[in-house]
Amino acid sequence: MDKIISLIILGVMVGGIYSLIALGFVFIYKSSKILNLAHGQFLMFFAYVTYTLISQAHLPFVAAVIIVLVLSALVGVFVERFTIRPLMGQSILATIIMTFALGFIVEGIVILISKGYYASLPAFLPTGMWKLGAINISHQYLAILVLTLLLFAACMWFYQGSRAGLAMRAVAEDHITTASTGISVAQTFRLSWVIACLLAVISGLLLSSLYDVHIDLAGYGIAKGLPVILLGGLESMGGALVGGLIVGLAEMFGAGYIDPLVGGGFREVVPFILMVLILMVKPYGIFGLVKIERV
Amino acid sequence: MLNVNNIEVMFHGSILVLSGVSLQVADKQMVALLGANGAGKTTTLKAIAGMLHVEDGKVTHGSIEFDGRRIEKLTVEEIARLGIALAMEGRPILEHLNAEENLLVGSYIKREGANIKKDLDMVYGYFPRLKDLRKNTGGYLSGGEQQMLVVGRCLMMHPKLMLLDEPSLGLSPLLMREVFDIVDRIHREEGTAFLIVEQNAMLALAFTEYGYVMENGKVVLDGVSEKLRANEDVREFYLGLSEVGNKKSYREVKHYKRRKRWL
Repeated sequence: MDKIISLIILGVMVGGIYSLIALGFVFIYKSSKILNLAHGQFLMFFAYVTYTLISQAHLPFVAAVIIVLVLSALVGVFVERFTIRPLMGQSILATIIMTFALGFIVEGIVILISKGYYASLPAFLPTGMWKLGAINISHQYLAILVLTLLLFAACMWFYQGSRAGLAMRAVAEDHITTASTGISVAQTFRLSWVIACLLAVISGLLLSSLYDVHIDLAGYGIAKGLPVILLGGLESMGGALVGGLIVGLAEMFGAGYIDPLVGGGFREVVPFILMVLILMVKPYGIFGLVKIERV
Repeated sequence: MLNVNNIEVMFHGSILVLSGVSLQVADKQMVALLGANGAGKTTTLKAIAGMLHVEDGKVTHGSIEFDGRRIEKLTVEEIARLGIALAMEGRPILEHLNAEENLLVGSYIKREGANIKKDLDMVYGYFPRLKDLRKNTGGYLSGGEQQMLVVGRCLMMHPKLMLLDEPSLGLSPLLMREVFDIVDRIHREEGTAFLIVEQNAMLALAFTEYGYVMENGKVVLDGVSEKLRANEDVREFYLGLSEVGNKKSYREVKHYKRRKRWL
């Protein structure tokens, strides 16, 4: 029983991070139907930049994070303007491949400069552990979960309640109809890229507080983010949250019960098995938008 | 206010769709644009609203002026901000947004705070049914309700000129009349100018002051709506009447041979 409870707790906490990674994908997909395959590399890149600012420029952690947030917003604007917008009107696939290439370029730059070392950020989240009998609750994981939930609440408020959010939802529906009301589609795209990059910074930092700063964070971002958004539905923030939790729980139970039988490694595969199963039943994901067709 | 001056529109750089379309809409005027299928009415509206590029089309000749400013090279957003609202054919609502959010999208560019509330009340004044449906998902509204929503969204933009593309398409005759009645009220009360593309020529000419008839990408006839209604050719080819008050008998006409050549 203790094992089940601690697996659930761990699953929820790990799932929180996955949700946060997925949220970055959702923002861009919703407004432009583009799957940003560079998201993993972005979060790795920003984690590296933060580390470099702290270790080389000797900036305090908070200052470094603020600088990186500003930088990431600029990266978002830049990427949208020079790689995505020129491809507007072309096939979506071309744009997705563009993000794929962009990811490799970013990764290449990081390898070139850093030579691929491991590094660790100073601990910025509370460390320590609550012990309730045999169940351990890590303060670090808990802090990450709380932060994730707060960010989700903020994003959902922004999307449902603010003027800019309404423009984003309108753009998500139909570009030309929205443009005909005077809302700038290009500006809305830019905003969604900026938000996605800010989210990449935060999820990059949270991930590296758990796993160190390393090139593999990029692959990790993709390998965790994709199953979550496909599970939850590409357009849905709530889907990203629920999908993240499902993947987190499934991973932990896979690790707890099946890994010992097969000798490990099953944890990495669980999200994809789950993804295939759910897509067979619900091709739009659990909360994906189904096109409304009136007969 | 709107001055379309001898425009030529080409798609894909080679397909000529409009050649020599000229029309004017004065301040607070209601104008009808009539013509058979494929005459180029919708293309004319899209040219005015700056939407040709979506289908790889372009104004290759002539000019479009709005309030004395050339607009044929502006983007859709810029033209909308100048005060031209286009209600496209086929009721383009934002289907996953609810009715009220659909309207709010229209108010995005200009209004804030209390004014939005006032504008919503104005739209609900014209379309009381929308008020009851305001929390309903746009995609699940009926055809007539969606048409009202589209006109309402345009109204939220406080345009000087509204372009309506076949507002009566797919609506019952009763609902058609209702939509036109409301358009007429908006015209009188808000002073909005209208350019209306319509298949139902009788209805359109009854509500407008001036009309243009298009065929094969050209304007072939124009005049005061009442005169157009009395014009024999228009009666014959668009209204389906040959003698005053008599329904045309198709047995007596060999339509394909007697097709009117305008030019």
